[in-house]
Amino acid sequence: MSTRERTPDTRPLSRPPAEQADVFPGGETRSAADAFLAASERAINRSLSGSAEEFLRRNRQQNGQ
Amino acid sequence: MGRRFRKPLDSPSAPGRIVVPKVLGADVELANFIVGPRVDGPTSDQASRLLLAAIDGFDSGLATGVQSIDWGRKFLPTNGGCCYIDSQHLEVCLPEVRSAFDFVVYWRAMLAIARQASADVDAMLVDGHHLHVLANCTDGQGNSYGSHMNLAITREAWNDIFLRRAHYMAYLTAFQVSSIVITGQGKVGAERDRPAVDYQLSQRADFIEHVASLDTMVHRGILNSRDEAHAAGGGSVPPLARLHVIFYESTLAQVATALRAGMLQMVGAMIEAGYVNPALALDDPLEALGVFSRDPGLCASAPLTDGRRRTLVELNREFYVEARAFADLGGFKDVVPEHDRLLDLWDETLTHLERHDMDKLARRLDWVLKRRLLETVMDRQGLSWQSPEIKVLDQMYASLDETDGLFWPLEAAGWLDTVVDEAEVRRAVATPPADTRAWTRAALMRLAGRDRIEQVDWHRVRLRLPSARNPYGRLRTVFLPLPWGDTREQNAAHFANDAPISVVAEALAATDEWPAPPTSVIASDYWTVRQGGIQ
Repeated sequence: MSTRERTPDTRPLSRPPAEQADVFPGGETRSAADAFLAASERAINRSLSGSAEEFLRRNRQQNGQ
Repeated sequence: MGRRFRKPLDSPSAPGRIVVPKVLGADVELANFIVGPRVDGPTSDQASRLLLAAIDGFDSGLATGVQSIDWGRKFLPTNGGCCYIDSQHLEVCLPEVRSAFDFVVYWRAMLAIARQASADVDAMLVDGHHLHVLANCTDGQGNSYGSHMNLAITREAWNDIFLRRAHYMAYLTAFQVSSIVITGQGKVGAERDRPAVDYQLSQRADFIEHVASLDTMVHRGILNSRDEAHAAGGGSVPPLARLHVIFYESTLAQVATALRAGMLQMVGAMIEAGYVNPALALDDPLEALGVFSRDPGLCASAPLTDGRRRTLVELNREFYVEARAFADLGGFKDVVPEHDRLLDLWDETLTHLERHDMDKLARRLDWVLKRRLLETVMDRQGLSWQSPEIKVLDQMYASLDETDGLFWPLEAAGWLDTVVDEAEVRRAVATPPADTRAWTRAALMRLAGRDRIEQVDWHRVRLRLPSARNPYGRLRTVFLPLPWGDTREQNAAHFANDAPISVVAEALAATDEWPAPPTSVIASDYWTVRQGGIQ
């Protein structure tokens, strides 16, 4: 016996269908998405203000427990 | 002088089997590193040592591990938890708690302590440099570090799981796999040459190679068989053990964290009672884990040993149904505090999952919230799952810095459900849990002071008290054998009226030990003798 995919569930999960580009993942309107994004916008901008490659290089951690 | 302990419960499903309070702990490794123009090369070792130095605690006096594994452990007289360095990660350990909601409180309190240490270190760095501390379990580059949980169980139950009853192991394994739908922090991509994927539920899944294993840094198991009790039974209490759970990961969402703790408590209690349904065992737990983790659409199913198939949500629902039935038998009474509230929270979350109600789930589960956030950023900025910027945000989701971390402003803006008050968290930074031995550990450290603490561990405090007969003092050890014993209620009276430490130690049935002088004093005396001889 192996693990396999079921017949795909057609209900929207997170990514909106292409024809509903203005629908926020999860089915909300763009204004709701704006509010959601605005809450973390400052942190996102700070995180992306430097070189992503450099960040990832410095972030390399020791394998732990 | 003896002390009385709470009498454990007889299991309702199997008279004669003892179920003990499901006390929880956790040891959490954090990612730490420094960025800045003068940084050239790895910084985790430095970062972790700076962080540990910034946290005030009492040296445990325990042997330090080699290669910076379990290095510099210090216990906190404030709340009874501890900190140390493990493999170049600052590791913070929660004081023992009885309730899953207290677990959330002390989880956040220990993160707050690490956050303050991070801010203090950051303030000392040269301009343009910044210390990052992340509460996640992978760097996204093939390295994982744990967010372990600890659960008090009887020795009999531990033996059943690991030594005697294979179906107990299979049951616990299936439960833990099923729980990633709630406990996953979510991560971008795959690691360790596992099948490629854009986004998966679990950060640890790619690092799990066995059903059960003793190892924690390689060949990790869904179950871990490390056998260090840090507790003992005695009297009416059976021999105790500790279930060391390395499978889970750091959750930031309060509901996910409460359920991570509460589900483990409940399933642990059921196993202890012998209330085990072997029909829920997965045919191939490792394969199921990989597939389930890679299925954020929650469509995949995996076979159980009898050939029936279950999706991730269906499987987790099965364990909920078992737990609810056990609760109806009175099985969680006195061993899992607030189990009705936990069961309701679990049931609601499963219902949201069954309805694919991602709006409600994003308020409760990290993997859903993070996915939503990253997808929104990708949508707005034309990025993809493969973009380095998205990998950075995947990491920064868990930054402890409240201005850098993506999670905290979302919570502050009301996008998450909460189950505890921030005032409780602030109090927990400086106060031990009242209903476990952590209270007495912290009280002893505070009263004795740094100089009189010879050694501290989870289950004992060794004091060096003044002695008229011995210049090195008198070593006395207070044992704290029961994780749920030595509570404030039991012991506060001993500390009342400014009782001196020697009197408190006596009241807590401290035992005498051979007054061996500390090594440094021996060396010093030896040198003095040699000097005298030369002269």
